[in-house]
Formats: sequence, C-alpha cells, structure tokens
Amino acid sequence: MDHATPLANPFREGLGRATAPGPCCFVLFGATGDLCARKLLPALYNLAREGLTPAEFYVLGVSRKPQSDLQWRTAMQQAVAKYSRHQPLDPAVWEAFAQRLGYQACEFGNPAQYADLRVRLDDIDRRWGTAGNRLFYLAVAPEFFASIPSQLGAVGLLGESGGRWTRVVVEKPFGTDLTSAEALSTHLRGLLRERQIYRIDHYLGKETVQNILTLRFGNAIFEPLWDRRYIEAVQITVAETVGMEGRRGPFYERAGALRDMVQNHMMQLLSLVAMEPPAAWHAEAIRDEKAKVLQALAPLSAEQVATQVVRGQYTRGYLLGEEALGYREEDGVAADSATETFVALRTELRTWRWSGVPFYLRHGKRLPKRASEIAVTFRQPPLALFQNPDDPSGNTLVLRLQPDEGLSLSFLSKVPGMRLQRRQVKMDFNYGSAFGTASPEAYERLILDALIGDSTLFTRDDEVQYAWRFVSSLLDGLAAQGPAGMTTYEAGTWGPPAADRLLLADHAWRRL
Amino acid sequence: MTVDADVREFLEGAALAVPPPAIEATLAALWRPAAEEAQSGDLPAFTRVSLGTEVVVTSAVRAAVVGSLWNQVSAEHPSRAILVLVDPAAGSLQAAVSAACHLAAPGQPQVCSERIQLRCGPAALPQLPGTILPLLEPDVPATLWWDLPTAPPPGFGAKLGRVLDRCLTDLTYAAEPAAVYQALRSEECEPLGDLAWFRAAKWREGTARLFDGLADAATLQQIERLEVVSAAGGPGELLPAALLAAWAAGRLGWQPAATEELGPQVPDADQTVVSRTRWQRPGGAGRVTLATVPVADGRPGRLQRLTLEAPVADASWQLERLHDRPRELRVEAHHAAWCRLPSRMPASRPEPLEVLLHALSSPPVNQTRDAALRQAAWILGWDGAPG
Ligand SMILES: NC(=O)c1ccc[n+]([C@@H]2O[C@H](COP(=O)([O-])OP(=O)(O)OC[C@H]3O[C@@H](n4cnc5c(N)ncnc54)[C@H](OP(=O)(O)O)[C@@H]3O)[C@@H](O)[C@H]2O)c1
Repeated sequence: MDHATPLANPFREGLGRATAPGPCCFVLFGATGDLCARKLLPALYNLAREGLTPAEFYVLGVSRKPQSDLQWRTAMQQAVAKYSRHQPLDPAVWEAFAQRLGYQACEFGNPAQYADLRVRLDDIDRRWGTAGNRLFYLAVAPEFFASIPSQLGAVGLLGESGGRWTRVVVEKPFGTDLTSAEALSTHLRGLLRERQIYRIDHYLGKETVQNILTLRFGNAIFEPLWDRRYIEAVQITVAETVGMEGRRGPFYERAGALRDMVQNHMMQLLSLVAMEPPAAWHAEAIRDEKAKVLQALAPLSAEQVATQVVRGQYTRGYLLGEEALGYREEDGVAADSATETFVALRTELRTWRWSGVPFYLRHGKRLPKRASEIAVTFRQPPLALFQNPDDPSGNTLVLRLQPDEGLSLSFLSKVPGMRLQRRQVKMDFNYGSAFGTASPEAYERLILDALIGDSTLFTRDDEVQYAWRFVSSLLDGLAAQGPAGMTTYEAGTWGPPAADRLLLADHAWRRL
Repeated sequence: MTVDADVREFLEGAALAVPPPAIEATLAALWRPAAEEAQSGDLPAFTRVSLGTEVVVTSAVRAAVVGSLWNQVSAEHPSRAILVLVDPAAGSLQAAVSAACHLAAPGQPQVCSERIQLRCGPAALPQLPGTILPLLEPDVPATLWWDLPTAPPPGFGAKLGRVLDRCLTDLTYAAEPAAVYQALRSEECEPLGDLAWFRAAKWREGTARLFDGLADAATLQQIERLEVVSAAGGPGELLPAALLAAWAAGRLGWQPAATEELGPQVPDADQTVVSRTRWQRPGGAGRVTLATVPVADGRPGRLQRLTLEAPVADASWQLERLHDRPRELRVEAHHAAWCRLPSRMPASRPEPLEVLLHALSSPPVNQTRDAALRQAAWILGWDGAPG
C-alpha cells in the first residue's frame, strides 16, 4: 500500500473514527465564486465552530480578482452570516476563524502567479504551523480541473516528501463524456496518485444517502430479500421544481439532465442500492463494490436507447399557482435548444443478484414536486389467495432522500368489518423527527473527510469511468435520434407521457 | 370539562390526574381523539413518537429541574417518560399524564411524546415496580435513571432491573454514592452507567485526539503516571476523576494492583491529593493520582485537568479546562518528536441536556464503560478489585 497506515490508538477505541484533522492549509481556488460563498466557507466556519478544525489551520482563498486579505474576509463574513446553517454568526468564533483566512490573487493561466502562491504557502507553513500539508479545493469551472493541477505540479506544490500530504478536491462535473473524463483522469494520474484525488459528489455527503448502507447492512431483515427473487423493480426519482433561476441557463445548456444529475448523483444512488456487502467498512472495500455495480451497467445500443430512454423539455405551464416559462424561453437558452431537462430510462444490471430486475431512473426540472426517493417494489405473493383481481398490489419499500427524509413500507391489511376487504397501508419512519437533531450540511461532512483523509464518500476513478461509459452510450443514442427524439412536457407535470412507454407491463411511475 | 377540552389541554402539556390503574387506558383515550381532530384539521397535525421508555426516580425537590430537563430531552429524544417523584409529604401513589409536543421543523407535523408522572411517599416505593412494569413499552429500550440521593429499597431493582435495558445514576451528586452504587449492583440493575461517564465524553475524545495518527506502542508503554484533578465538594466528588483515570489506564492495558497510603501532604495552596493507586503496566508499575482543587464557581467533581506522563521520554500530554472559558478544553502535548500547537475543543450545548441525550442514545451495553466504572469503584473504595 502506498498509504502509511496510522498506528492504532487505544484511546480511540469505542469513540468512533478520528474527527480532528491534523495541521494543514486549505487552498480554495475559486474564492470569489458562488460555491465558495454559499457552501464552502459556511461549511468551514461550522467545522471551526464545532472545534473540528485543527489549531494549525489556514484557509487561503485564490482567485483572479486582486484584493486584500481583509477585503476577502469581509466578503466571506457576509457570506457566512447569510448562508451558515447556524444563525446568527458567533462573533468570538468568527474572530478566531477569520484570523486564519487569507487571500492570494492568481490568474489561473499565469505561471508566475503560481510561484507567488508557493512562496505564500511556505510562509503560511512557517507562521501558522500548517506543516506543509495542503488541500487544494478546485471550486472552479471544469475547464481548469486539468490546468490548475498542472501549474501546481510545475512549481512543486504537489509533492509529498517528508511526511507531508497533498490532496486535490475536484468539483463536479468530472468530464462531459467518457472521452473527456478519461482524458482528465489520465492527466491527473500523471500528476497525482489516486489516493490524493477527491472527486466530490455532494449527494454522498447527505445523511440519508449514507443511511442506505446502514439500512441495508445494519439490519438482517432486508438483505435476504434484496435480490431478483423477491424484488420486482427499483425506481429512483430525483424530481426538481426549479427551472433556470439564478442565471443557470447557459451552464445548463451545455450540461442537460443526463450530465447534470444522472451521470453522478443517480449513478451513485444506484450503486448504493444495488451493491454487494463490502468485505470491510473502509473506503476501498466500499468503493470496490460500488464500482462493480457500475461496471455491470451495460452500455445501451442506439436501438435500446430508442425503447429504454425518453428525454424531454419543459414547455410553459403552471407550477404552484404561478406561470412558469418554457425551457426555450428561459434566459441564456437557445430558441432551438437540444438540451434535455427531463430524462427517464429503464436499465438492468448484469449480475446474479439483479439479472432481470428493471431499474427505472427518472429526473427532471419543473416537475410538480421537489422530491428524491428510491422505491423498491417487491414481487407479489406466489399464490393469490384472495380471489380479487382489484386488490391493490403488495409491498414497496421507499427510501425518501428529500425533503422529509425517511423510510416507508407499504403492505396489505384487512379493512375492519364483516367483509374480507383489503387495503394498502403504510408504516412510516421519519428521519428528521425520530432523532430531532439537525444533520450537518453535506459539504461539512465531505470537507472534514477530505481533511482527515477518508475517501469513502468520494467517487473513485473507476466509478466515474463506468458511469460515463453508460451515460455516454445514452448521449450517443439520443444524439443519433436528432431533434425528433426530443419530447416535451408542460412545466408542473410529471414529465412527458412518452416516459410511460418504457415501463414493463404492470409497472407504473410512482406518484410522489 | 368536555373530552375535547381535555384533549386540547393534554396536547398543550397540562398534567391530567388519573387513577394509577387507568393510566394506559386514559392515554389511549386521549391520543385517539387527538389524532382524529388533528386529521380533521381541528388541532395542529402531530406524530406520536416513542424511542423508548425512560423511568426517572427523583426527589420532589428536584422535580422542577428534572421536569424542565425532560421537556428539552423530549424535543430531541421523544419517548415515554415515567417521572417518579418521591415526596416525603405525599401519601399513596398519585398519577398524572401529559403530552410533550415540539415542532421538529417548520411546516412539519409536531412530534409528540407522553409523560406519566407518579408521586408517592418513600413508603410507597416498593409498590412502584408493579405500577411501572405494565407501562414499559415493548420493542424499544427501557431505562431507569436513579436520581434519588439514597439507595433503592431491597428488591426494587431486582423486580424492575431484570426487564430494563439499562440503569443510569449520577453518583457525583448523591448523598450516599457508595451505598447507591452497592445497592444497584447487588440488585442487578445492569448494565449500570453513570452520567459522569457521559459528561466526560469530550475528555475522552480529547485524549484520543492527542494520539490520533501519532501513537506508537513504545511511546504509549512509556506512560507511567496518570493524574486527574477535579473540583472538590460532596461525597461523590471523586467519581468523575476516578472514571476518567480508570478509562485511560484501561486503554493503556493497566490492571489495578493496590491502593497506596497517602503520606503527609506537601502543602500546596491549590491542589490536594486525595487518592493514589498502583497499577500493573505491560512494562512495569503505573500510578494513578486523583487530586481536588477548590473551584469557586465549579460544580463538585467537575474535571479540571488530565495529565499523562512518560518520565523516561521526558514527555507529557495534557487536557485542561480553560478558566476563562470553562466550556472549552485545551489539549496539548509536550514531546520532543511531536510539534503541535495546543488546540481547543468547544462544547456546543448546555451540559445537562447534552449529557442526558448522549446517555440515552448510546448503546446500553458498553464493556469499556462498565470496566471503567468497576475500576473507579475500586479506586474509591466502594468495591473490591474488579476480577
Ligand atoms: N455553485 C454551486 O452550487 C455548485 C454546485 C455543485 C458543483 N459546483 C461546481 O463548482 C465549481 C465552481 O462553481 P461556482 O458556481 O462557484 O462557479 P463561479 O461562481 O463561476 O466561480 C468560479 C470562480 O473561479 C474564478 N475564476 C474563473 N476564471 C478564473 C481565472 N481565469 N483565473 C482566476 N480565477 C478565475 C472566479 O473568479 P471571478 O469571480 O473573478 O470570476 C470565481 O472565483 C464548478 O465546477 C461547478 O460545476 C457548483
């Protein structure tokens, strides 16, 4: 293993994993951007507030705009005050945190400024005891995911000599198709080892997504039923009500539903729900099993895409009583746009466990509700004892990811009375109200993990590549259909009716 | 009073008196119409949740403190709470029921749980197990928190303890800690946990942090001395210190050996050594010292400092409560090979609530915790050396 194994700490036994990272400098590229203000700085502040950042810690913001440390601190104070989940800002915590915030102007394409960056980082090590450990967070547009690491490498900032560590966190999207993802991966592997690269998928930072594994592998009752013999179908839905608010149009035009949601978040959900039990509870064992699921996802041919995938664009409609524009009328969207805002698909996993079980995935914008869930529908009992063809059907286990996180199981029960009448009833568990405690923000958990060096909740290179292999086959198949393959749906409805056609007999999209 | 008014008052938290045999039936009769009215929109929507049954036996003088603490607990750990108030002025057993409802999140239904209050004189204590047993909910953990400063009557724990999932005490504040400890142990009120253990959670975490990623067996074996300093006051003042020391010694693989006589004390204005014990280390002998300091505004027993020393390596590790910010700990290592700045650990919530929630949400059985409590009892002379 190229990774030094930490020596056993007898005091740690029974206390859960280490939560306090060692000394380091958090170098945040994209320090004037939206993600930095809305998510990253509030997350860092909340970690500091909980005492989870080390004493020897420093956050260096890097972006092109020339400004002083003080100017950036002031801007970040406003951002944290606005977006932190803990309100109001604790002045004492902020004061201590702000002392460790600095800013360095750097035009990402200018090599000379990386040399300045190196000088600044060495100085930070001396002054703040950050020990040469660095976490470079690339909160920048994807076109810089390759060039910034190259520049860092060129000035010797990626080395790990003398027990120092260097990690690079890469935001999504990791590539725009299989070819570009492979190229980026090859490029990064030339500069860094896989264990140094943290590909972030903030869905994996959500508590309820992590709870999928606890539910499956912490309980004995689900796993024996978790295969083709008992499961009829699996349906994964990520529905959004938002459209192109916040000037998302130009970005979305280049992405679309498949790239923006299916390739990353939905593939991760699929792998968590379908994976085999890992051999051990650590990053590599878990990611090995997830990768195997994505590997078993066969690319679809153009003919299969025609019958198993439906894409759509929303048109003008009404959502929650308000009129919503059609996608092609939105700011920054071409009048003849070919970008899908909805996608539904049916696929299968070529494994012993899942062979023959359809996995339905559905995602769209401007749908009637914001809701994400995984619904596992079980097969009917082998013998229909109650001779009533109108009986509602059997059991569905629903893992609700948002909003209202929780779990429900529906089953058949007798209706009170003299007649033998049956009705579907539901057992419900609500994650929020059962524990009463607020969950940390996904970014808090993920940043802490990256600082500690735990990559369990980050996507490994092979996972990304397998996911792209599948999604690229869909993109190619859809491109081959041309504009004729695009369907439409009215904003505020559950997507194009054509999506029903890809369901197998007796299956239906769930009404969320 | 109409049923509707009762239901409304119940949901708003008012205590409704009920004859003890009718507790369960009354609760059912209140929840059912409440649910119907909530469904029809006449009452705010709510979900009834129970993560367990928590039986708290406390004194009438602590009733207000425990009651309000329980209100906060129910917001985060909704459960059926059975509060038993032992009141010398009370005669026979009286009962009342109420609901505790909290808004988990805006727009969500309220989360409601129920409280059963039993009031009785000390003479009626032996009747309690027969009243409480039928009220324990199935399938969720049942906990007894013995918050009385005196020991339970013989047979109390044996009847109840067998079906409970755990017993909790808070012996730091008990008038007769040794007697309560011995009585609960002999009554098989197991597994027994003390709130001092949960109060010290961040001390254990801080100790672990000192050695995260840095520990090596040789260094740990060089540690020969442990010292814990806590605030003086009350018969149970030494329990938190003894528990922390016993835990750290246990983690280092030490076994209890003998209690040392305390020689004449070197006059020290701040600190009084109150206990010294010898332990068998993997590499020789070890020593645990407990000392107290007078702390004007501190609670009795409150931990002040933990020091681990390895004289042969000229190294020491220390956790210390900050005087100016008593809700923070300073964590520091002095070792030639480790260059680390002192760091601080904050506590994020008011202590009693945090402690209770931690206790209720941790698994009932924890062998490390149990071993530490048995060894602490040995250090304090409450019990013989654990086997
Ligand atoms: N925003 C989100 O909610 C979100 C969610 C998930 C993933 N992401 C991903 O996170 C990354 C950042 O997103 P974002 O929304 O924060 O983007 P953004 O608001 O456009 O911020 C980009 C940052 O990079 C800086 N920058 C751009 N070109 C530069 C150059 N040539 N030299 C130096 N600095 C330059 C910008 O500085 P200026 O301010 O001077 O332009 C800004 O600080 C993207 O990869 C995105 O896909 C974002």
